Amino acid sequence: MISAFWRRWLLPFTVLPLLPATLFNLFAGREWALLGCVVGIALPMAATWLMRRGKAGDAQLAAAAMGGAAGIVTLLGAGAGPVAAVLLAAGAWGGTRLLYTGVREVVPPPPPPAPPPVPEPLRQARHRLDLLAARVPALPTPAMGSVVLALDGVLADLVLLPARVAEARPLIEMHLDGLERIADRLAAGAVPPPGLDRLLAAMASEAEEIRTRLREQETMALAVQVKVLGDRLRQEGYG
Amino acid sequence: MNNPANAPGAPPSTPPPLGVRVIGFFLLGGTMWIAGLLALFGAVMAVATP
Repeated sequence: MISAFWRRWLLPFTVLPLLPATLFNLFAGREWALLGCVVGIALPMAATWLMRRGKAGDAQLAAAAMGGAAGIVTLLGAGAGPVAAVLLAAGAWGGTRLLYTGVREVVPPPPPPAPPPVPEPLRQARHRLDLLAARVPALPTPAMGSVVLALDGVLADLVLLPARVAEARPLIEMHLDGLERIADRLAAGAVPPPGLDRLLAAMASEAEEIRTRLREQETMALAVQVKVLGDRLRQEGYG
Repeated sequence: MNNPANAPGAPPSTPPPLGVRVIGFFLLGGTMWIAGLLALFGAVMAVATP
């Protein structure tokens, strides 16, 4: 593990030798040399930022930035010719590579685990319910909407409780079959019989009852778990 | 306790010897010093010579 000094504070200090030349060039009005010095200060700052960011490959980029800084200062700032520039660039690059050999670069965190897949029966039921919900507004029985809503709630609960799908499945199938047949007849022009609203209200209340029962079962399971855990703790002498 | 899953994880990479880092430090620092002095002398000479 490399300390914060080496990692964060060393590279900014490498621009200190460039400051006198920068000021001198500024007051002497030597534009190209001044540009070389300013770039030679900016690139190490970029390298510092890269090292602080610390993604994979940033140490190599930082080394390239340091090499570029030394090369540009030598070429533009000092006017020392390309050979000296390449030599000093190689020196700065190699120095930074050695300095940050084996530096731990932050690995991006793994993507969050995908949610568990929805059971196939639930997916089919959801698809049928969506189709039904799209047809309901055109039908002359607004009470169907409440049944669809109640079934929607049951399916949403079952997504969280996949272990209970088998238990609730027959009732959901029956409701969906019935609703689809009613919707087909109504769409074919049938007039709603007098008992239809009562039937739909009963279906909606049944769906609500399923939700209540599922919640009660989970509550009971939790109560049993609490009791078992409490007994175990007491047996181990912690209670 | 003897479960292998409880073993301390090995470091991801062996740190380099200190000498490598010190060589890198002096190489980088020396290079930047030389570049800075070259730039300063170049500027002084350019201004001083008529």
